[in-house]
Amino acid sequence: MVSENGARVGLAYSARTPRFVDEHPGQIDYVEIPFELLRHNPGVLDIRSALPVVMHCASLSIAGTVRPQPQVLEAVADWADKTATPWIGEHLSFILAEREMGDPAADEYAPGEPWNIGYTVSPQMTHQTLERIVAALAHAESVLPVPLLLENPPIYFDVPGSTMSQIEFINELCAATDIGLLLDLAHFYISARNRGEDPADALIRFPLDRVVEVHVSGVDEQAGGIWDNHASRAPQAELDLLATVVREAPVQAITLEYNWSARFPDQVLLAELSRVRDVLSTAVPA
Amino acid sequence: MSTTAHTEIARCLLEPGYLDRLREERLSEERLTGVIGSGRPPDELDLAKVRLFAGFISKVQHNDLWLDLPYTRALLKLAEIEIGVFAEYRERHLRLLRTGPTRAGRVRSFLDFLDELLATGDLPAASVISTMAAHERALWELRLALTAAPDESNGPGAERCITPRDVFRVAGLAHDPGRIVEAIQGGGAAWAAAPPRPHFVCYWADRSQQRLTTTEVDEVTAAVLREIGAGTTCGALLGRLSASASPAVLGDVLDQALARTMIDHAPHDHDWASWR
Repeated sequence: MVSENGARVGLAYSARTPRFVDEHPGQIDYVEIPFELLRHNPGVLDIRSALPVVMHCASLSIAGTVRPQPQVLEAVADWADKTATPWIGEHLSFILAEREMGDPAADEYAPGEPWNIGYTVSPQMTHQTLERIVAALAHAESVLPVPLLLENPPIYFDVPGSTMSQIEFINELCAATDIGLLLDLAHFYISARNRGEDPADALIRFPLDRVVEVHVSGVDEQAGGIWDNHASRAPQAELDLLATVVREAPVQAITLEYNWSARFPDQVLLAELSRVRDVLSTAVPA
Repeated sequence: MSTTAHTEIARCLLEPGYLDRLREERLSEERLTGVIGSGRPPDELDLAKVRLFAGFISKVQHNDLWLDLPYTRALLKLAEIEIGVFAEYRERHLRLLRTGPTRAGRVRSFLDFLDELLATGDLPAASVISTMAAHERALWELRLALTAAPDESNGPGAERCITPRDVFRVAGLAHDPGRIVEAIQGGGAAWAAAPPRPHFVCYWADRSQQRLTTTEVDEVTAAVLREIGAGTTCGALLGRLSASASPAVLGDVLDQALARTMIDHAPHDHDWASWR
């Protein structure tokens, strides 16, 4: 079911997705699956018999100072072929960081191995980091069969030494490369709110002309901050941002990320799909 | 240099002890210089926020707990303490990960930690959350028991009089878990005001029916059922509980448990019929 402005609506994979697809045919147009899940449990690709697959990834540490092992990039390329994904969404983040050989914190069985946080973290935003990202993208694109899209991470704390805001950083990246973007609206909302900005005002400064895919999910207010939450409904403010994005950006895919709770009810998921499709049907294409 | 910044962040996220030491050092420095509350220098990492982020990562890495402990997770979220709780748990979580834990090991580790944290009384709505955690722990343990092979050591034997036929647990709860669930499902903040009502629940995994049931029981029944385990003799049971109830009452409880096929009785030991 392609919307009038050409965007498809998909779902981030969770254990209940195959059943949901069976019981609610026609509700979603594709499924987004992380590379890490495909690698760990290749059987999840069975869903490709029902729907197209878009691949996501959190392993390339594209904004980090340490590159992943070459086998990781090769495995991502291999899964891109197997899934026939049109692109790979990756975080504009780091998961690996250097750990010196003499570091007293070094793992005694793996001295010099980098720290592997196991979760994507927003990087230090400097021109030096941008240069490294440009080089990492060139390297990745020489191996991958499809383009990468880079996703804005949520900002929960400032990284010391940063010389620009995230929006400036992403604009600089777009000026230096022809990279496409995955705009995660929950992350965007979180970053703006945590910095005391109005998300709608901030969106005006975002390079919307590069946005190919959008993520929609919920947020939590807790411990004095706003946090990502794929187990609660998107706030209305996020749907308002989506209306602007689909009017202004060449969006091809909108992925609902409600994959953190095995108890997320089907009725709520259907209601969220309906909210997104309503936005799509009422937004005026640019 | 982002190498340094990224390394520092990674180490703080992966070594909670290191993060705590940094926080202590910074606090000591502030005390020495007398600039407490003057604000963090812009070139320094906000360690309190990094600590919460570490908790957030652990929280996300426990998303599968929604499956077995849905209302405990819901209460932590409703009380807006989820991230803080997981920040406290971070060190134990990382230590556990190094041992390659099973899923059951992860669930048990988190529940044990939560019990300890709730016992400190520092958390809001601690008794409501504690009730739900105990309730869902019992249900989870019995679901595991239904899928596990029966423990033959619990079978009747020459030396034993009373043995559990199936697997059961007894919990003394400060609130009615059913009322808490209703309050959560009803929305709003009613869950936090759930009135205390001391309450004993027997959770019974009936292997022959592959069924899990919960029954509210009185205090004496709860005490009797708690005492029953492999090797429990009538004499030992009577000795342990005679101060709480008369032998006749204890005999009635055992009759009911036997009638409901919760326990087996080896008649060659002392029979409770003689207690009346």
